[in-house]
Amino acid sequence: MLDEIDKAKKKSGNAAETRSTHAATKVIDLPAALERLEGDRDLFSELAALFKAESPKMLDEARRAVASKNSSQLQHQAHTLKGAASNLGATGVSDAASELEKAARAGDMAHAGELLNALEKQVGLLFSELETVCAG
Amino acid sequence: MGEATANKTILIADDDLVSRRLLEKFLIKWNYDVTAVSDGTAALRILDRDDTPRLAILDWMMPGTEGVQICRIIRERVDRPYIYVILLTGKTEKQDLLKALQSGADDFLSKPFDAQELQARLHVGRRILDLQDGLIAAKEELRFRATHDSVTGIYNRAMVLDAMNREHARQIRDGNPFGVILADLDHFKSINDNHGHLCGDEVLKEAARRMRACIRPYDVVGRYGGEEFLIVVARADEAVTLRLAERMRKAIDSTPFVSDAGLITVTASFGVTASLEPGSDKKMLVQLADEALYRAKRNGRNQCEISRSNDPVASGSISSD
Repeated sequence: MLDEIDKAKKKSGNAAETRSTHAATKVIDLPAALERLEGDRDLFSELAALFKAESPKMLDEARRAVASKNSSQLQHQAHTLKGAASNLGATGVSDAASELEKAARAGDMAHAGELLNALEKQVGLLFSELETVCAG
Repeated sequence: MGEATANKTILIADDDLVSRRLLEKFLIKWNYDVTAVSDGTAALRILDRDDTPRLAILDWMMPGTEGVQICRIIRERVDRPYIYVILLTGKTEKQDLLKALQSGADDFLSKPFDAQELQARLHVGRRILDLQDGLIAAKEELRFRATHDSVTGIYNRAMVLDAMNREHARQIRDGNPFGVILADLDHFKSINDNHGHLCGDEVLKEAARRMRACIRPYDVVGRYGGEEFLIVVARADEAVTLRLAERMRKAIDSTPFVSDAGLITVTASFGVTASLEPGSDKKMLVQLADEALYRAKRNGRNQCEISRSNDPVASGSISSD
């Protein structure tokens, strides 16, 4: 499965990754996530479903915040997405959200749009990864 | 108090559904009684209740009031049971940690949390709460002992006089009369001499119990002296107070007292008076009741006598207070 993740990542040309300083980010660190959930795969699936339901709303709010240059609202949405994703071990999303949060906190709305794009891409990757993980 | 079962009510507040569900699952697994909300306003509403959970896991950034502000608000309240607060947040900077602790959080955890660590930290929280509960219980016991008579368990002299002062003040405000009864057990010295002091104590206890059974919820019976009791009767004139005294007299006289020394006949004498005018001299009231009590004793005991107040408002007379 790790090979699949690596391939998917290389294909995406991840914008957030070019700005960050750490090495290749996995979409999901599944072993770590499962360990935190004490091996409960059903719980993981339930949380994944909740994330899939919740995150589109948060991304919408983030979009609106960027459009209206509302940095505190953007910071809030990015922060919440970061937290939610970290519970799933979704390092790709949580790292991208963290970048966006930092930019929003610094008032750097110029880059916010670009970072939000990267975040949305990560969320997309996560969704497809979750399909595989939760099905198997 | 079993540490395993006490203080297991907990509030979680987080606007992220994923985090909330995850926390809820673990807490329920660990047998906590969980209340979950998604914003700070709802959290504050629950923490404001008398039966608030004693533990709380709060997210920092939430709609309504944010986590640290909730901490500040609850720490400002006085005379409330302590709520142990863990701030669970995606913020990780040192200044965030400091701000959280200074605002009143007891602990700070970063997301994503480690389950075992959270469980252990909750144990710490419950240990602190148990300590506080112990202190409150000890304080309550001390307060009770300071205000109650150790033999009979009813109010002691200071407290019953305090109750009389309150009625006196109330009369100034609303004009309602109140009654004062002095009750004294007859031949108590011979009960002690014949049956011993332990028996005497049992008689006092039973007499207090019987008298208390006659009063209404807003009346007060207190131990005034060795075998003497003061009763403050709220919203009562002379007739009502005298009727209550007579009920008490019958309650004590009607059936013998059961003791280790067998059945003992006990009677009591009662001196009655009432404050009919606001601002009556308080010492005078007790004195009038005492004079009536003396008459009851002299007339053969086991009876009620009343001193009707002729000149109730003391206008600079002898005993001033």
